[in-house]
Amino acid sequence: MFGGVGKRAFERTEISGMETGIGALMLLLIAGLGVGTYIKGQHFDPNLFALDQNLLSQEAPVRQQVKLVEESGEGRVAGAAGAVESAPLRGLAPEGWRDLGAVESFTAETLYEKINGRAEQYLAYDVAGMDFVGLAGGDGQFIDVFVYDMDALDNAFGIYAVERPEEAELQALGDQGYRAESSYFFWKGTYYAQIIASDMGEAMRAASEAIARTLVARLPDSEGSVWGLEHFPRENRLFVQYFKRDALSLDFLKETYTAKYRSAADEWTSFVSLHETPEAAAATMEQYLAYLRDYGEVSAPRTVGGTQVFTGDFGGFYDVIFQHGTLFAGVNLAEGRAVAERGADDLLRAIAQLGK
Amino acid sequence: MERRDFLRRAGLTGLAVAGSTLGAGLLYDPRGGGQYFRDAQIAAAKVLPSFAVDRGANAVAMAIAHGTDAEAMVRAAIGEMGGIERFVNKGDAVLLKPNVAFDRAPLLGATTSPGVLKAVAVLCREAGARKIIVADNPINQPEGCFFKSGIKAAADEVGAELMLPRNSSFAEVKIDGEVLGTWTTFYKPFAAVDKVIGIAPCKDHNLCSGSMTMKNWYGMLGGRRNQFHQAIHGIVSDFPHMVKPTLVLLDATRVLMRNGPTGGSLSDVAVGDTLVVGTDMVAVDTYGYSLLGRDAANLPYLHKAAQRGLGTTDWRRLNWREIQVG
Repeated sequence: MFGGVGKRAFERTEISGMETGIGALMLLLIAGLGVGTYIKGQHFDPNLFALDQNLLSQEAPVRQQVKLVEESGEGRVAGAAGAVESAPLRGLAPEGWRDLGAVESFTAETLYEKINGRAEQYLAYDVAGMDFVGLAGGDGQFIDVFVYDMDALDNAFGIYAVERPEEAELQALGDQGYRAESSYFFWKGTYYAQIIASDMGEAMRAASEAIARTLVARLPDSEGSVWGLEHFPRENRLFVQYFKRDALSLDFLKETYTAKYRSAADEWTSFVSLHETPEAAAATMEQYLAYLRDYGEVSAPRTVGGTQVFTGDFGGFYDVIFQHGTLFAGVNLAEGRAVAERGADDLLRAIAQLGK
Repeated sequence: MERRDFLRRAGLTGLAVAGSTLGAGLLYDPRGGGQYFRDAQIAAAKVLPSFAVDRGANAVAMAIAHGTDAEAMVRAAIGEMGGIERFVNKGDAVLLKPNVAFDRAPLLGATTSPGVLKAVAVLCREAGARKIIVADNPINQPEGCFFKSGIKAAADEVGAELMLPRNSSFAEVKIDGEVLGTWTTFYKPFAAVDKVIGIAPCKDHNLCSGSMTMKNWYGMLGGRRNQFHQAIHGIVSDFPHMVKPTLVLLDATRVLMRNGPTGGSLSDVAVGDTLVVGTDMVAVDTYGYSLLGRDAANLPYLHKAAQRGLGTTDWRRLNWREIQVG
């Protein structure tokens, strides 16, 4: 059966017609596949590899909607510990108003679907998500309610403060709020809310205010406080803002509060940046000093209450900076050395009094 | 095996190997898979025709109207440009492209004013347009955006067709720009018309500082267009290359001065009482940027477009008019 080299001796003597036919068919099939592949390759179908948007939406992360404080006949359960999953933003409509569509929820990843072009501003403050509901009144009027979950007190305050106009008339709403004609905006705990009216007039304003006050009652309180607000002297202070990154347009200045001041004809901006360690604060000050030296002149440091204070001259505009423990702080672009140094010295005293 | 048989089989095998090698060599594409598909995509993409009208070198290229009556301003400004008949012929189908990106009320300045859109549609009707299409591609709930912005009501009033984006309305369109080669675009409205008129609000923009007539075309892109935000100035400067509109209008009747492009607070809106009409988007936007209180020297996309010969930032060198209406 086997030859001398161990191979099986085999010799075909007959090949049936069927076998020949099947073989020919298979060869034709292979040739056909080759021709088909070639033709298909010459006629590219862009839809073949197109992104199926429906797949994206199905896989988009589902966001938990705003956790609202439970309302009951015995009163509201305050605080995050009492927060429960309830129908979010439901039943906000005052008398004569109704929900316009379902509540929409967006994650940080899908926020652009609602506010494309603006979403980056919220992402810069680490937004966790946003819930939205529209309410319809008579005569085609509507009110849109946006509640942004900013995940942290600083972030909620930050986005609220950076969007608030300087001249805004503040309202006792949440932790702080303001009104713009018939629309209301406020920040409470880790949430930032906008109640945006489609029209002006007293009826619209009243409806918006009712919605705002209902929301304030429903949104949970948060423990703790916005640390930056405590550090700035109150006298002559106009408003405070918080920048998560790129504060004062400097890419190395992160998690920084700024406060704008005005006294008679003098204006200046103070800032405070918190670091985890004194060494980190010192490193940031070194970066700032390098920036001052690159674009201006730095005077020999003064010592105020045991802290070294540096003054940079940008040709009529002055920056004054210092490090105090884990804080790096100072005054930015004040007109006049005396104004800048007075503002910085006041800030340093306020910080020292807080004992940080 | 016999020697003869061995030689025959070896010869056949050699021929098969040589044939395969030759065939593979003929079919080999040195571009590689990625480039091959990119080239194929570009070759298969639609190209938007130019919708511009040749009016001669000395024609008025830009007209600025100040006033409070939207229709009067539209009439006066287009009148200064030679009249709507210079742009729209009898029997034309016309696409009006407003900015309806958000479900905001008109008074918030985030979307095109319905009054301005309606006035342009009325003029097109008077010129004999057989069909007027109003189209935009808001990402979130187009119906809600058209309703709340008042654009649907304005279109209904003048009998214009509202064309909402549907999956079948999109096609790969050749842009051949700095950022985009081709992109899935809301193509159907372009394919259905003879003339295209862009009507954009004048507003602040969080990413590119100013959203005006050039940025308005961003609204026709499909897919996850937010991914372009990292190269926003490049892509905005691509639009005059992609679209050659018949006319553009910058609606600065209300100007969203901050917190754009969405706005939301009336505190952010200034009454502009201005309308700019032109054929050079770069020129119109250069002027428009000043209405935001900003210096056009600092708006990169204008200069990118100008450097590519897609318009001029030196609008004063054009034949332009400025008029007070009423």
